[in-house]
Amino acid sequence: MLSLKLQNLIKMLNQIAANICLAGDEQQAAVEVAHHIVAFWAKSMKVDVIEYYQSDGEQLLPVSKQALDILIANT
Amino acid sequence: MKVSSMVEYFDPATAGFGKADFSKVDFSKDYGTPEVISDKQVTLEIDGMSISVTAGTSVFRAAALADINIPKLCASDNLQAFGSCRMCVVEIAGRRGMPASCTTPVEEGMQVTTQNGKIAKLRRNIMELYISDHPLDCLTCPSNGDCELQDVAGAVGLREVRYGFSGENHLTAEQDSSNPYFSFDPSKCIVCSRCVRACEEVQGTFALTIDGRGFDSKVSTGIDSAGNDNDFLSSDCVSCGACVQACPTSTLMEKSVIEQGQPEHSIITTCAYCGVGCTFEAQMRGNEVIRMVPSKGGEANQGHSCVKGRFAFGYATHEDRITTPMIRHSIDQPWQQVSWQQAIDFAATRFKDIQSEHGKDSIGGITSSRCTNEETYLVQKLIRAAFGNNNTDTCARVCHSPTGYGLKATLGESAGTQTFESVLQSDVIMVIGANPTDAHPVFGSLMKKRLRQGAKLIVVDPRQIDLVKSAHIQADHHLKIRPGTNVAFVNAMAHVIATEGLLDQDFIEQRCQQQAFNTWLEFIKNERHSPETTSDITGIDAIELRNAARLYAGVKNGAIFYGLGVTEHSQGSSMVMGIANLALATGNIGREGVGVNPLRGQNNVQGSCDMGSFPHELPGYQHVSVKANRERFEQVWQVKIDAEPGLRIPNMFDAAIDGSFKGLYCQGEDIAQSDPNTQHVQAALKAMDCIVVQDIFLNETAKYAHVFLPGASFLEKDGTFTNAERRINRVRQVMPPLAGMADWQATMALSNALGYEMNYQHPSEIMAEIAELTPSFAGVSYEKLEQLGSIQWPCNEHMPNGTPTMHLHDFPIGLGKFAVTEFVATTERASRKYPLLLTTGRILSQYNVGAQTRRTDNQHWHDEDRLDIHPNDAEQRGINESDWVGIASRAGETVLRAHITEKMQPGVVYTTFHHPESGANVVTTDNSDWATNCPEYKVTAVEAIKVKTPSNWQQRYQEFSQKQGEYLQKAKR
Ligand code: SF4
Ligand code: SF4
Ligand code: SF4
Ligand code: FES
Repeated sequence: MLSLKLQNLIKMLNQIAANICLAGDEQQAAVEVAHHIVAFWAKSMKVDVIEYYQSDGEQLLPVSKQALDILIANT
Repeated sequence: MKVSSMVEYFDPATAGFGKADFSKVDFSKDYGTPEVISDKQVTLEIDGMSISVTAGTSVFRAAALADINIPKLCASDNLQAFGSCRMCVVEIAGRRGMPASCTTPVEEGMQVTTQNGKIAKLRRNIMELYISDHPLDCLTCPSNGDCELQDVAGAVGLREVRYGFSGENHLTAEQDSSNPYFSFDPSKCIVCSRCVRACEEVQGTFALTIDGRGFDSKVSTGIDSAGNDNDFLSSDCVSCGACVQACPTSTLMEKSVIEQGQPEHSIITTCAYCGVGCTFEAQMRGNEVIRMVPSKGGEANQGHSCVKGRFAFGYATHEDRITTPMIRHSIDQPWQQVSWQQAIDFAATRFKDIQSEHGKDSIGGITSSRCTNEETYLVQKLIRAAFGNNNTDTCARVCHSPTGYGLKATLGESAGTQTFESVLQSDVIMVIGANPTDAHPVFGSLMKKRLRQGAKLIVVDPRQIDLVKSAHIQADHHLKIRPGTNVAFVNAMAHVIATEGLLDQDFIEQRCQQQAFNTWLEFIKNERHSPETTSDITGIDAIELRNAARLYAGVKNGAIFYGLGVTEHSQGSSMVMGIANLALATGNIGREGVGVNPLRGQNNVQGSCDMGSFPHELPGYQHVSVKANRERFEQVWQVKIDAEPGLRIPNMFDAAIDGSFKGLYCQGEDIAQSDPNTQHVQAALKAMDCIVVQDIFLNETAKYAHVFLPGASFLEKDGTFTNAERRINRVRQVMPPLAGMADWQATMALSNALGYEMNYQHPSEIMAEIAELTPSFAGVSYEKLEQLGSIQWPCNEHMPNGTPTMHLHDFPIGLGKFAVTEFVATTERASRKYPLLLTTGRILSQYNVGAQTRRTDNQHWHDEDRLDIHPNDAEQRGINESDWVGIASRAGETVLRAHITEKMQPGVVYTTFHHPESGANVVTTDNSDWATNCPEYKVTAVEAIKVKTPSNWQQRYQEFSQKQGEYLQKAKR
């Protein structure tokens, strides 16, 4: 079972991805999602969700995953 | 009475802001009739003195402006002249008889005489008639010394009453004391109708009329549906007090004055309830507030107020106030009263211990939207400098954080664009998810005034709020939207505007980013946004929506006002951007009468956001990850600032349950009652090792606290609040802090004990630091506030007196930016198990979690939260009026009594959250806005069933509260 905290982080990230889907341009959307995470999320939240992505990641939307790839590449 | 501090107000007219008026207006004086705005000047002669005034001004006002004071009874400068008492008669050369000066407009070359033997005799005769039907108990009358009838009797030199007092009279008429705050004693009424006109023109409620004619005429509060006479409490009256203020006699009188006597001095300050930010004179006797009288010089309220600000101040001296600091080691122990120093040291030691054991980021704090700007600034400074992290958040998280995000993304600034007064120039007013007559009453009255003048009204709300249909007001369109579908609605509006040629092409070309616009245009023109397609989602009739869109886009000035019905959704931020899109698309930005206007909930929501309460932003919305921003603060604060955003409130709760977040400093905020999914919040609070609550009462959160620092009410401290118009108003101390320290002083002490030194002597020094570090506050200082009365930020070298209307020529981001706002349905949907949608809100007489208003006579109007339900839904479930109903969602269950009303649409139920035992937030879920985590209070799928006992949660709550009450009692002994 994922912790409640992690479940919420996954939900939040997917929600952001769903709302920033820019008229079908997934790549651009992923950039903006990554930007949003950098700008608004606390460090521990980023660390937790990246850890989940790297170990499992099943519940993440494709755009969410792409956004995390960008995040990982930039850190 | 002596009015200390600031009798001289700033008047835009005298500062050359384009309002045509003369010299100085003294707000403590009554000029008899309202100011008339006109380009034309008229010159006349009054008692031999030559005077120029704007055309249309009354002779009475012209004289008053020249300090020639004609006696009057029925006139007042906030009401249209009525001309009934005839006390103000004058002679005009070349005219027969003696006209009333209050109803006679000035004319070029007119020669007026205000005093001679004949006039004096007539006035004395009139006065004699009044007095012959008036009790002569002046010496024992509560109005003694503050009665216009008495003053005028003196002014006209009344010496005898020849008619005697034995004739037919009203001296035995019965008193009406049904209203908890004022009484009505008709034996003293002179039937001047000022109260009636105040209720109509100022408040807009139309609760009063003059019944009968001649001698029989009297003030009436109407009749009920059974044909019986109403008293004030059972009438339509909303207890705003405008009539009481207007009454020239002691007929309508505050009970506090009757009981305690006339005030002897007064101090100007700002209401601490809602985001309108009304200016009041706190009228005092020593340290005791006798009454609050809205100040005519207050730019936000111009002499009006609502029941909360005017009357509900008694909580400040309520016996439940806690005035001694308290500590305890765990929450299942009784409280222990200690000194300030002991409490502060205890808190500081615990915080430091937690940090050394669990790391720097294991503690945080919550700033208050009820405290002053200076206090909020200090709390976030303490967190950033003394805690060394960015774990700061504020209750705006749960109300208007999407406004900050959405408006910043589109218009470049996280604030509303207009002044309140701007609504008087609107041709169409669109109100979305807001209920101004209840939640922002004084602004609601102003809006109603404009609507009575003929502006069109579009209401978008699942409920039939009062504005939809009330005295002399009828919405042109009430779009009964299904909760949770706002973005589908706003896209449909934009679709109509974009496809029916209603775009303001010039504005878009000159003021907006073209690429963003083109992307948006392509997006919005798609058929999936058409009203016909979205009608199934929103429940709004396509033709009605098209007509509403045409109406909004078709007039010169269209203004949008919105509230928490917009922000408190999973797509709150998208909706705010969608609203900004509408305004940009129709060019409704950058002048008076238009704009995008969030109506803020609590008094200082705007201010707490401005002051850097959010975990990602330093004061003035300066992002914490930008090095240059940090550097300026680091230099002044002499400390390193963390470059990573901190935790938001819901993330703090999750981290607490997870065991990584252990300590919280919470100022003036009741998260245990106001935040969604109560059981989750309670679990989080229980999991923490040190919670420090600073509040005026032992609120719900304090029941989970280890340290209680007694707070100071707004009457006990100096500072500033910023209202929904970005207006910075002064709060002035009228009595010493009951607990010995104002909130800013307690924060300072805590910071010092944590080892980060703060040393301010007065809040003005804090403001000086804010101005130094926050570009939009650069020109703000206490001296300037004294001088100008109030300042709307941005206030800087370009706009030294502040900025009433934003975005006049450009946006802070240069060009306005259209945003693509795809509708994403909330996961919170009606289902077989939970077939109803619950939405929450507030009412006029109670404020937020109710901690203050529940401790006043406002309880008379709303002593419990009820579940509003449509008759069909009730019938299906066998629910009758006042039955106990269990409301269950996937988060929890609570029990409330039902109120059956057709104001609800079928399938939607509604409740308020003013009483903790109601547990409305036990039912709301942890769903939240995608961009800001603002909770989705406005949509929860629920089922309602008839029950006999309170819910399990309520029973547990009862037990827990009782135990905590005992712990408090032990401390007091
Ligand atoms: S109650 Fe007061 S304001 Fe109203 S008509 Fe009587 S005297 Fe005038
Ligand atoms: S208190 Fe306000 S609403 Fe009530 S009668 Fe007076 S003016 Fe009207
Ligand atoms: S509660 Fe709001 S409208 Fe009422 S007096 Fe206070 S600031 Fe004004
Ligand atoms: S004051 Fe002018 S008629 Fe009453």
